[in-house]
Amino acid sequence: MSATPDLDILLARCLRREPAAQRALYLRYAGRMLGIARRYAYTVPEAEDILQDAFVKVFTHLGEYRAGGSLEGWIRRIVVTTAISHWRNGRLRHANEAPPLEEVPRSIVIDAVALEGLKVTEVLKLIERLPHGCRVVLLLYAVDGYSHGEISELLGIQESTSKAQLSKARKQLALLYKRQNDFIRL
Amino acid sequence: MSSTPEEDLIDQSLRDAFQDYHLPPVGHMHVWAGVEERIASLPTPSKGLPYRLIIPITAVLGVTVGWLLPRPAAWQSPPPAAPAVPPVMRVTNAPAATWPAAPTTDSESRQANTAFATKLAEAAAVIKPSNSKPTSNLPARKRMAAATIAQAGSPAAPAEATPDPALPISSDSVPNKETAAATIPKPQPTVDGADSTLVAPAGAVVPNRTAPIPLHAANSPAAPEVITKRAAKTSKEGRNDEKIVYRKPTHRQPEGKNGIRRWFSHLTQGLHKIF
Repeated sequence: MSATPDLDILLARCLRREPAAQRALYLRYAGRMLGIARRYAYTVPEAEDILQDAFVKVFTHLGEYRAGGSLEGWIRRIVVTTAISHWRNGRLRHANEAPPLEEVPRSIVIDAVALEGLKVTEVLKLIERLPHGCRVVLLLYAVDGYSHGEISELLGIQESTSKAQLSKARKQLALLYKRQNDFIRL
Repeated sequence: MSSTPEEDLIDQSLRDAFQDYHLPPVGHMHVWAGVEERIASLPTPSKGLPYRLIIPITAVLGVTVGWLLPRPAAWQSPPPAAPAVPPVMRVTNAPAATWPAAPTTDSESRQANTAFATKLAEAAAVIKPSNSKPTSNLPARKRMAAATIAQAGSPAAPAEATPDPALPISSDSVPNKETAAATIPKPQPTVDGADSTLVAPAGAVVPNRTAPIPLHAANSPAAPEVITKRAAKTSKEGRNDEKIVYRKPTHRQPEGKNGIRRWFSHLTQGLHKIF
């Protein structure tokens, strides 16, 4: 079922609904999954809500997990799907509160190297300023490795829309970063 | 949509930024409390029957139900009553009973009849009823006499009327008691209970139902065949069969392999099934 025998035993115990095993499994993956949830949420409490719902799904559908993939990847997909579900249901507080950005000039050149010096919290702050649709597409495609087909199926949009949103998100991210740097220099 | 190297670089920098990003779960144990509360209220999944047991249980149930279903023998209707006319004429190896010579007067014919009846009764007593059951407990002679009286009571043709030899003999065509005794001696009823089955004397081979039996003349001394009503009927039918030309059931004749009618009928049947 998985690479390590410890995980096999842990999963078998979780399937028998042993609370100790379930707690151990939660502690094993909760940190990484909370980080994933935090990317899609605007605040930590929202990410915690996503995490809670995701782990309830994990323990409910643990019998459907097959040995084909890694358990972490399976839980990660559940967390992402739960986060998208939260966003589509309007349960994310800032879903409609992102400040509207002005149109990005087409001539803008993305300086990708500059992003490397930023910390995670700074990148999160920049991403939070993006429109939520662009933000979700950017995170799904660039960070979580979803294809445009998967994104269109997950969000219920056209593939071309996904591609356009991604392009817009990249340009706006670069613009935001440039403005932040200009503001710091001044 | 092909991505430029700059776009690929920004994607890669985002991946690197979030690669090891995680929040320690220790500070968020209230999340686990909520998870624990919610999964505790979930119903335990019912295991149900394992797949390995389903097939044997189904097989055992099928055999049991099949065993409990009524057998084909129980579905059969009770055997039909014995037909009025026995269909079988058997070859019997009765002991020697020679046909008497044709009598010339009434008294002679009576005496000959009585003597022949006695001989037949003795012969019938010799026959071992291997595959038959006796019809009554009466002695053979009394049964013979009763049969003779019964035959005499039926409406008969005039004594002088001699039927066509080509026609099969039926009991209706037997004349009255006197002429019947004069022409064909009344045979002994078989011991197997078939009342109208007649037994030929010793060594006589009775033809089966399909073969018509000619009626011998009233004065003919040699008439060893025993005839039944059924034989007479079947012989008539057999003669009629030669003339019958049955109608061809053209409406059931098979159609050609690629006939448009077959194709059309298949199409209409399919549409009928669908709608």
